[in-house]
Amino acid sequence: MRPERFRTLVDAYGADPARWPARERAAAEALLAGDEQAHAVLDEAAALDRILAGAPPVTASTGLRDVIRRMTQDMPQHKPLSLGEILASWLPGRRLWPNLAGLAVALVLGVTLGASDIGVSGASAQTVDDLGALMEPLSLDNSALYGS
Amino acid sequence: MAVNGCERPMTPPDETLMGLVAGGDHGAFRQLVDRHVDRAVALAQRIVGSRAEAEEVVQEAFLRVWTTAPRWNPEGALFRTWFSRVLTNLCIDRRRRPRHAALDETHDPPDERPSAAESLAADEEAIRVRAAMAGLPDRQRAALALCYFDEMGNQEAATALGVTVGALESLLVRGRKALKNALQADLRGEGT
Repeated sequence: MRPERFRTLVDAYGADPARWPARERAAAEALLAGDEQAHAVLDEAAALDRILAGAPPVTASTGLRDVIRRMTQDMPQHKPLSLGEILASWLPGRRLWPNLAGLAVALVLGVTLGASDIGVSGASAQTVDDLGALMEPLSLDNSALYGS
Repeated sequence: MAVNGCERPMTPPDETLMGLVAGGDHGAFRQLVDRHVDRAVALAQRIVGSRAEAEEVVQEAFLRVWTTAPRWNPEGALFRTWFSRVLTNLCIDRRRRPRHAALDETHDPPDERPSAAESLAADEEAIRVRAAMAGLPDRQRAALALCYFDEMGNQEAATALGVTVGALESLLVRGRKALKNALQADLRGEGT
């Protein structure tokens, strides 16, 4: 292990080898065995470790367990829907049916209009004819220009 | 179950209990709560700073355990790692939420002052450590709380934070450096 890596290891995980990543521990301890500077790095980190270790332990308040248990007593769980439940949601009596009926009516009307002459394509053809009539007076008569 | 004539206490692993919770088993849920509530409050308090807020976040995290258990898909992760991730994310979300929202939703305003026990013990150093931790960016604080106070290994802590091990190390290095700067006076005292 290079001294730079040792420094990063100690800066990240502190001075206690038990906290170092297992696969690097042996190499770090080998470096430590013969390196004065590594010891200095370790001592510096150990001072911060001791201060942090002095932080008082935190435990849950006595009533918290009961609050959590009560909270979930009647709480439903988010179960994944089975195929049967998905199909059941399509049964009569559900609010979904009026929406589906509306969609079906719209579909039938759309198909009927599309197949009839009063549809969009008919209107377009009419528009083309009207444009042709409007353009007629503007069309050039080639025979008038070049003679017969 | 008797093994070679000896009675062994049944201590099902968390993942087995989660399977039972998925079926609506309140007893299994109670066991999970008993097993993890103290460390959950400790972890949450190290991240959000106040005990009142920490306990609210822990309630929310356990509520998620209950409601999402039927859909729980750990993909090989331990319950503890998954739960720590849920809890850490809730804590960081809580810290990012505008202050007034937190006040609206809590029964009591969060108490940022040192606890009565700390004051009585005149544990000035503990108060300074807490203040120094509170001054860290959220993710650095969460990384330190997971690795240092929650005693998690680096791979598990990285998974709980949703980062790579390299990114976790970077958070830890920066967090410890900032703590070192904030606690200079205490560190000088340690050196003498």
